[in-house]
Amino acid sequence: MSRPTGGVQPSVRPLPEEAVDDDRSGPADTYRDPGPATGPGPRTAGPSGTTGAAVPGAATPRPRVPWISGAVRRPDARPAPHGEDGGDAGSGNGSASGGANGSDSGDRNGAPPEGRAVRRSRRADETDGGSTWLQQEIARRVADRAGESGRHARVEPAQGGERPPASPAGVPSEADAAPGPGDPDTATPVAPHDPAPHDPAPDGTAAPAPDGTAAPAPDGSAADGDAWRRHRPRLRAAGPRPRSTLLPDPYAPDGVRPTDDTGGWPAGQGKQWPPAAGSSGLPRRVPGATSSWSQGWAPNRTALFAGRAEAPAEAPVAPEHTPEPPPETAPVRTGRPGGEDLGTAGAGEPPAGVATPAAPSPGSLPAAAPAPGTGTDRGQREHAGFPGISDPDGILDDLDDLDEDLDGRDDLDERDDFEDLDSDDLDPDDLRGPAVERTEVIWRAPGLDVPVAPAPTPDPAADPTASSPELVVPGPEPYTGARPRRFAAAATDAPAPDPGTAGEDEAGGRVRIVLSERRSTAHSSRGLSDVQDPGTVGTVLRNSLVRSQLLLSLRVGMVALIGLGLLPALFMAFPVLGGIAVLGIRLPWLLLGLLVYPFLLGLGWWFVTSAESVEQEFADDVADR
Amino acid sequence: MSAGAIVSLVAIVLVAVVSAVIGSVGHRTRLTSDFLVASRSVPSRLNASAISGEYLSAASFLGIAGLILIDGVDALWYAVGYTAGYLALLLFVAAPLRRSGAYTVPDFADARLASPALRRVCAGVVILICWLYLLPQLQGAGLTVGVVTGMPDWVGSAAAGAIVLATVAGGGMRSVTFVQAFQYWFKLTALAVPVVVGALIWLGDGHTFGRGEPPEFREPTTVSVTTPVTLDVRLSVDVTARGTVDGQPVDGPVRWVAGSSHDVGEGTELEFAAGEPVPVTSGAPADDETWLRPFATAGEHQLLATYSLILATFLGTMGLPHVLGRFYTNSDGRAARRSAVLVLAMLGGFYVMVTMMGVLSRVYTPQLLVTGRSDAAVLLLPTAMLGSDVLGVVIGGLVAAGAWAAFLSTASGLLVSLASVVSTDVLPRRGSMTARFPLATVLAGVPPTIVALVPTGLNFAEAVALVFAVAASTFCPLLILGIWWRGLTDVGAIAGVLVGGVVSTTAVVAALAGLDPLVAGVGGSWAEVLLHRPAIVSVPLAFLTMIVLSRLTRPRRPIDVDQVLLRLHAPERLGLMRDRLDDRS
Repeated sequence: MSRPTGGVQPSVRPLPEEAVDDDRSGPADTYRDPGPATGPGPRTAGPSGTTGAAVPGAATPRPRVPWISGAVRRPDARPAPHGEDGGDAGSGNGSASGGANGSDSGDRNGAPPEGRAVRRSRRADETDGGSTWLQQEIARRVADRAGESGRHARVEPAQGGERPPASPAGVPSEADAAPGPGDPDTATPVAPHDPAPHDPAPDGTAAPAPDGTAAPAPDGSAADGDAWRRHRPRLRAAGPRPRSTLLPDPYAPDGVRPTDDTGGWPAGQGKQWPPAAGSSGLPRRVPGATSSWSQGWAPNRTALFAGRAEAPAEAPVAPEHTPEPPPETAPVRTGRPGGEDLGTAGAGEPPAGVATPAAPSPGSLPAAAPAPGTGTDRGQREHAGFPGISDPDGILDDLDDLDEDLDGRDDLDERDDFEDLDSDDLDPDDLRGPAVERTEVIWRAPGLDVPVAPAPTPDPAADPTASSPELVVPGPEPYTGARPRRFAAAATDAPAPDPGTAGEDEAGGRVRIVLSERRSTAHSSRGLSDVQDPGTVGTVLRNSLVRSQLLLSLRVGMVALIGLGLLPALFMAFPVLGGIAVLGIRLPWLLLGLLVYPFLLGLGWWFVTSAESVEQEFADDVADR
Repeated sequence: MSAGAIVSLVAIVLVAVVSAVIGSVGHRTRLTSDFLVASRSVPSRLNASAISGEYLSAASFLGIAGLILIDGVDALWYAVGYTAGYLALLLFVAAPLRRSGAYTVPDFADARLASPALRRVCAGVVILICWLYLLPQLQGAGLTVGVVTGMPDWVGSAAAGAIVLATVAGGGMRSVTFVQAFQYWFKLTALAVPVVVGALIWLGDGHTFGRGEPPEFREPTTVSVTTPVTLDVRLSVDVTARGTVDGQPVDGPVRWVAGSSHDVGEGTELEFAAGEPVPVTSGAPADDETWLRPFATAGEHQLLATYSLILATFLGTMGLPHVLGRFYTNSDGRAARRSAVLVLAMLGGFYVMVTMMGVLSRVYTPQLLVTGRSDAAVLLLPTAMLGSDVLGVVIGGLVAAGAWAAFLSTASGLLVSLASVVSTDVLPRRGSMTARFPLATVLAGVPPTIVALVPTGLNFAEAVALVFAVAASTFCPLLILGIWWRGLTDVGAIAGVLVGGVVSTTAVVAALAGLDPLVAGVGGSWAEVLLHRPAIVSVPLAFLTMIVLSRLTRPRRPIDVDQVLLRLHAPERLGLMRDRLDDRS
């Protein structure tokens, strides 16, 4: 886990920078902004709901990005994004959303490069054509996932290591983030809404805490860690479908959600989701709607950011999200089905959040009130439900968000660097709206991305950079695509260190996060191949490892042998030693009967810590190759 | 049968029953990996307890205390060596061996050198070591039953053999894991309670060892000599003897003068009054002051013997099949290391208790110095300290049950290793593991049980140290060179194992058979010392043979040696570890 923390730290540093960057660079900022926006996003979900079906689609894709940035933990958040993504995915965000989810992990694994190319092509296709494009993408994604799963797993582990701590906080943030991405697309159109959404988002994060007040949040926080763990298994077990089902329900019945949230996790939502999508009749994501929504979002973000900074502001926002968003969000979520697993809980919430921002923003206030109540639900990660849920988680999330934000920002930056694709993704998002359902299945991987919900991170950054909102809007979608990859890459690196520090913990984290991959899977194929190379390079690497370990063993062994082996000779050479009494005990008895055991134990401990650090270094070297 | 005997018997039966229950609860062992390595799902703390429970045998529970009673501080080297052996195991073997994914030594040899011949040789050595190791365990069980109930020793040996066979055949290692973890803590308790009580009593009566006199009988004592002994008399002592002394039939009071030496024949009974100085078997420190000091015994080449013992125990632990088998149940190399460290702590705590028991027995059960059957010291101590009242009887029952736990845990661990090798390398690979494993258990367990019915005069700790010497001379070089040296070849490994095994086994068998006087006559006192402590010769010989022959057969180095070594040493994170089991079954 230490590594994760380490990762977090680095991320933190970047955050400020990123934030600055966002302000400075329009495009990059936009991406990053989505992150922040994502923070608001969940809240925006409420708006999206208001905006209605139209927005959801657009909004969803972006959320995905946040998801990615968010950590794996955010399964709940994921669902929301997925729901959104689902729509998007259908459109081609699949590449971004589904792809993002999968791609994110995949990227991290190292597969990303290929995946990126494919995605890019896909994205282009998506932009060009609607249904055909979607179908192609779906096929590709399926294939990719098969190949990338390993990568995802890898990435996740790393993220898991880092994110787990943040996850609680991250969840809320993610939820927000998820919406954020959606926002970018929709953002432009929604611009007006932005303020409201933003407010909600902040509220969602902050408000939940207030509403849930400290109590929920703390509980949520405390529970979050546990909850995550618990959830992860569920995630694994539960297919994407369940999650997706869950999502819709939460949204449609926002009021219901709180209860669900409190009692049940995403799982419950997941079940509901599919039906909900249909039954809820919530408008599926409509690109236009999203865009408008997203616009509203950007402004909101700033407000949100401020809100986040300021706990009080949050409370008001929360209300907005909860009430209105549910209906609208529900559809969005359905869109996300891809996110399903993770998203189920979170997804449902995020949409709600989105909805609230858009239309509900006004009404959202009342909703927000409920949200707080839901906040008590804390345990549940449905950030989407966030207002209520978010509160509990919110606090946790806040902390997590910080970490996530950092991570997310990094991701964003990375995305910016690498991924023009993301921008392409935006187009796909539009397409996604229709394809949502199909995507869902595919999107399971994306669910993982949900945790990425780095959006929270962006939020912190966003706060500093008031201008971010605008940037945010464009950023989200592209980011989703790009973020996953980079994130994955970052994650892979991070995971490697994690094992070293706390292999077990990390492993556990990984498992939870990853749906199917093994922990032990080699992350860096290149580094591994170097090590296994029969040639000079491999020989040097292997010999250095074996030699360092052998020298360590011999060193400790020599200390033990000298320490013990000299005693008989000393006793034989100096019989006087046998007559010396220390503390009433003869020296030989004291040495051989008592002190020798702590001596051996200390040597053993010394060796274990040293050997593990040697292995850590070696693994790091391999991972860095 | 006395109340104490009944209580002790009940306690022994309870331990056996509880072990069987724990061992059979919730185990669904139907896969090969389930049987052999508990599916590698054992948490490291539980695994450490199980390793300790399995490792602490009759030699540790009874033998070391008995040796301390006789030899004093020199006997502490057994305890130190048994513990330090785990450090060596940790340093050189634990993690790489676990990462090899093999679950028996033959498996490791096969994975490393891909030689069927080496695999067969290793399987043979495993069987040899396990059988030699099982003997003192089963005899210890017999001794315990004999001491507490007065029944012949073979009854207890046979009962222990039957119980262990049934447990292992029925449950495999998974059940054994929990049994052994339970048995470690039970053994620790069974020693800690009498030690604490005894220490309080000892402080109360102000006894000290810092005096140049032999120990005294604290109460009128009758000693039955079952094996011929020679007694050195330090201070004049009045004794009522019935039987054969110095070759003459005796029936009545005799006075042995100071400085004299007497041969006491089998079946002789000696009665001592309270306060009489205790005559000791020849070679042992006669007075307490000498007993406190190192190298006080009369034997020659003490330093050589001590270093050989240290070498055997230090390097022998890593070659014990049942110890290695335990490490396969760790989830990975890191867990193997960590559990090994925990084992170091657990063994240390246990041996501190054992040392205290040995010291206390010098005060309260000096009559054992007369017969030389010092293994019973721990069993007799509670009633000797506390009398035959309720407390003494209860603690006596606890200790007897703890001793049985020691035999059962070690014997079952040995039998699992034995059956693993027999079922995979000896029996034809037909039928399911479910059917083969119990059959292998019976086939592997019956011979040593039968042999154990014949008594030997060797102290348990000494007998086990001989087994350690065999392990150190065979598997230790194979493992260390196999794990750390690229140049090892199958020819070198086979030759080294055979040379080390033959040399050490010959010495062990000769020592067990009581041929040492003969050898001493031929080769002098050096030979006699080396007969009981062969490690200092056989271990370097085995290493040398392996290295030299491997260099001579350099072309036979396995092609994949680099990959194998990488897998042994690469951190788990890289995902290179692979379980052999997956390949085989």
